[in-house]
Amino acid sequence: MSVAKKSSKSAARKTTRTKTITKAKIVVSDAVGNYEHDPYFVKKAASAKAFLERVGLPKGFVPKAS
Amino acid sequence: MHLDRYSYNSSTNKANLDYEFESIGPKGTIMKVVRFLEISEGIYNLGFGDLDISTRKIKDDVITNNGDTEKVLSTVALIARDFILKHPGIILFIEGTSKAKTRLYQINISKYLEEIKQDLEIQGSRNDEWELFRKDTNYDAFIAMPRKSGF
Repeated sequence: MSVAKKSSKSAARKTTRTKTITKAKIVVSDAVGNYEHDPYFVKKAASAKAFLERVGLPKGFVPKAS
Repeated sequence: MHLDRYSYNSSTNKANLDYEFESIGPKGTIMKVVRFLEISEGIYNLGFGDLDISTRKIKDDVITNNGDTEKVLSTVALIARDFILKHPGIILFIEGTSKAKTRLYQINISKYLEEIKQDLEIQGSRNDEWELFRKDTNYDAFIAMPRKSGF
């Protein structure tokens, strides 16, 4: 019985590409800061509010109370 | 589709409004913060930025360029999705601090639209009108909500 051998050239041409995907781990931690009053976020929220006051919400949409 | 994302920490407060994760790249480790700020009843703004470790404040208008933009945006998108699904009935407003950043968000929403649409509805604002998000369309801001919510 003969065993077919792949040529070293074709074996060398074969490349395997891999990409590692990191699965996100979610940790609930009391070390996370409270950024409610951070000036950057407050400024962004004010800008968002101004945008929505000018443009409004999509027609027919009424958000439920959080 | 499996996206590469960072692990993140969520605050222990019931409303889950604050999140932190680390961006790792050529510029070192940079702490990223995501904050959902209520701007009107049931309407939240998505804010995210780099934390200045020394002042514990968010750096205003900084371009990080740590070589992991897509991974960072994927992580923020995952956090936003989790937040929306934990708070049924709310809507999330998303706008970049500049037109370039808004365009970057738009490109990534377009790229992963099929996955996003599985449980979220995205609308885009252009010419001061809202419409269902379409690829290859320039928008000024976005709104995200659970699918079929409010309609």
